[in-house]
Amino acid sequence: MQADTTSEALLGRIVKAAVSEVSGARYAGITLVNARKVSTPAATSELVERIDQIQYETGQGPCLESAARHQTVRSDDLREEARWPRFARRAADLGVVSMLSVQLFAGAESFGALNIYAESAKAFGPDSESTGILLASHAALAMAAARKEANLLAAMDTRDLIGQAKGILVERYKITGVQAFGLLVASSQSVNHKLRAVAEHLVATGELITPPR
Amino acid sequence: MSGNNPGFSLSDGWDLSGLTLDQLWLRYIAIGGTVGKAQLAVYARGRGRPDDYQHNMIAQAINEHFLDRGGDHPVGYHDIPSLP
Repeated sequence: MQADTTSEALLGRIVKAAVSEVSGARYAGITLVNARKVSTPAATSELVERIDQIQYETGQGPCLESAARHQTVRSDDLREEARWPRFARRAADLGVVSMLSVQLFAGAESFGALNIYAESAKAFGPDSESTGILLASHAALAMAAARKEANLLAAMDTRDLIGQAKGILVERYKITGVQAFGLLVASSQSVNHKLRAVAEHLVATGELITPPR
Repeated sequence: MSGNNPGFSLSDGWDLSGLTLDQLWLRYIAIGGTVGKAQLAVYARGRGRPDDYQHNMIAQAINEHFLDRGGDHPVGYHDIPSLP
């Protein structure tokens, strides 16, 4: 599962694995919670997206609860579910009866929930939960690794840009790279911009940002 | 705080920022940092004796965390030149 590291492909494989490996599963999807924004980046069926949309609209449901409380949440029959009445009624109308939501959680980074659905009551049991937890744990670790790689690539891009900016200053003022870095910092201080913004402006325009006179 | 005012020390600034070592190192290498995490931790905890260049890179890495939050440059620099 860690061979394909693109986030979208990875999540797609996880939800397919959830349907094939979790006893009782008919559909699966992933809810991601990121900076208060909730989304469904992967789903095995359009029905899953509709179910998740109901959770977003009503603000209640097992996957939101699972993501918020970092725990597995299960409903054996949404037709008789009292915990999320508005959600449960609308989800049951779409034919989903059982739901299992397992948090995607890895260390201090909380990503959301792996949601698994069935069209019959009491479809999920302890084995389903165990398999779901294993899949979700693996997914969360893989996603954390993918995010770490993305952060590193972004850092390298910034480093390259700042290197170009330093090069411009070295050539222009006949100074050392260390002195050039100092000028970039001075600019950053004077206008409260990050070094990347200072470097971007210099590389694009040839001008070192200075405060207005 | 600007120019070569003392400002906070690297150690105090790092504590104030709440950045993990991993987060600080990522910011540090993004702006040109050249030492590994272990050495960065030594410098940022005030236990090493970084030269002015290393000091300023670490200071900038910490300060950019505050810039991201609408703040200024609380950690002081060493020997920053004046703008031309």
